[in-house]
Amino acid sequence: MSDSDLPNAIVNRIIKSSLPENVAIAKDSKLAISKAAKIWIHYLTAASIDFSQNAGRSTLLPKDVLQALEELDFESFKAPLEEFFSNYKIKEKEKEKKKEEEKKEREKENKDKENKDKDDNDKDDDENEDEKNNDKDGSDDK
Amino acid sequence: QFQSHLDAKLTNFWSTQVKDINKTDDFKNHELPLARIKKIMKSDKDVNKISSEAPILFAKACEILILEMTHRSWIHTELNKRRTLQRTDIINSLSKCETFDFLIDMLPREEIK
Repeated sequence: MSDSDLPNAIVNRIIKSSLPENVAIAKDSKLAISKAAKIWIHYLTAASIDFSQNAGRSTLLPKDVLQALEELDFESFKAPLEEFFSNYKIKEKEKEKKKEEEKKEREKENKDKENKDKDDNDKDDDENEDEKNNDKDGSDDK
Repeated sequence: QFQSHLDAKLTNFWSTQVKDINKTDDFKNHELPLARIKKIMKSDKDVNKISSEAPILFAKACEILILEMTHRSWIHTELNKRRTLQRTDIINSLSKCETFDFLIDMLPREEIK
């Protein structure tokens, strides 16, 4: 196949994490698993697209994937995947919220700085005013 | 007898999977790169648009798949009292399970003893 494969380092890391420490794995085994995983992506994609098309959609949605898993007899994947996905969405919301708060914080800081600058300028104006008045008084003196 | 042993191991595997997923804090470290997965998905000419969340699910599902295939193969290795997981373990363990029939082109027809 001319299209890209899954990165070996990451696949190997996942394989390793599922085996006990003292287990060796032959190199061709790692490649076989990587290849199988890639074939599976094609397989799951095709099944998912069927569900999208049946629903009259052109966009592949998460729910299509979940339905496809059940269709292909990988129902046991659904529970951990749904759990993962809901946790993921919660984390994303928290990240968004944090971003918003930081943005508001920055805007507030900028505004405070603007106000401070404005006050400083007003102060300068007042000082100039006083000087002017003094001069005026001075010049009146004869 | 083998089947019940396999079933027990798989049940154990799945309960650990759910536990692990619950423990996972780090979502940025999806392991499998989303762009790569999306590329593989897009090689299907029927694929039009993909929601941004779909590759994330695929990445995780793929990870679970790799774990399961490795685990099934490993059971075979253990039963043969070996410490190295060989390709034959993969072939034999996956051939036995109908769910993995989609790999038929990849796995040799005859079982290797």
